[in-house]
Amino acid sequence: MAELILEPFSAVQRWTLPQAGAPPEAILKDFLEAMARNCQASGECVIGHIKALVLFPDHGYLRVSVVAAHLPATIDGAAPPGCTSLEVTLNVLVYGLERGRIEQITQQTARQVAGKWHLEIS
Amino acid sequence: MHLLLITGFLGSGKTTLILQLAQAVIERGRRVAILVNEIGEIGIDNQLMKQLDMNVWELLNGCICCTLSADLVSTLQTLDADYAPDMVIIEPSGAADPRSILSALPYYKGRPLEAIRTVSVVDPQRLAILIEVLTPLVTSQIQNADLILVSKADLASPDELEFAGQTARSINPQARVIHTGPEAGRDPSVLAEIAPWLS
Repeated sequence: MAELILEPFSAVQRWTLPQAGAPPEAILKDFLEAMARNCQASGECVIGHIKALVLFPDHGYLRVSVVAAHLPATIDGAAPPGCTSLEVTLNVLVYGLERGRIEQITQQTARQVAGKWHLEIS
Repeated sequence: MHLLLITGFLGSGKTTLILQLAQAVIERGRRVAILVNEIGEIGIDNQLMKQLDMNVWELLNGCICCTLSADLVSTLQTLDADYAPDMVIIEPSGAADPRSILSALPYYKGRPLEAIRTVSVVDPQRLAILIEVLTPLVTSQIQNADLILVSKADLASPDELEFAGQTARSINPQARVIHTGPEAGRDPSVLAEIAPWLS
């Protein structure tokens, strides 16, 4: 494999989840795993780290992380019960993909996940 | 002041380890500061550490191993003067080569450093592919370590763990190699290896 570029991509997304829907942890896990698959499918690349962080009051947090398309995402922390509004900070570190392409993949994946879980992502 | 450099590829488990280590130091009545250089526009690790009330400083807009070496030294001196920590934990980006960080440290002119220890965190689930496609970086992270922690013992297969241990030993025969799980930073035996002065 030729020398791979690393062009980090970060974003802040606002998620509005449906009432009585799936928990944020499951949706965020699904989103990151989809990101990893979509990045891998996009071309010759090596996933370094794709991670998301949501902060809550009283030192609360939800951190989800994926390091390969074939490995499940890991979850640390938890969202408060009944939480339907999230500010998700995302860092995508994938060797081999240009930043613009990663941005496209992020937007595409967000649309996929929003459709699947009936949430709004902006 | 003790300096602890935690290196390792992206997603290997550095931040998780650092959070646990920092908490262990605090629980033992010592002062700890964390210096983070995260690659990317937004520092997620930095945000998380601040959320957990850790004393964290962030080096921005560059890579600690190249453009920020001078910033590293000046920040260490400022930390020492303003906060006098017992320990500083440095987390370079997982894309950083530790050699440049280590070569910058002799320029530090604050209180004498009682110890500089480098711990490399190795991800056994991905080492085989990473050592093949990112050879210089991953090799340097393992080579320039006093202690190597093969992380994710709870997730990796026996073959992956065996490969990681053997590879680490072959690259760095002088370093001690330990297999660790998700609670490494809370394990007294691992703490004793990472920071023997804490005991």
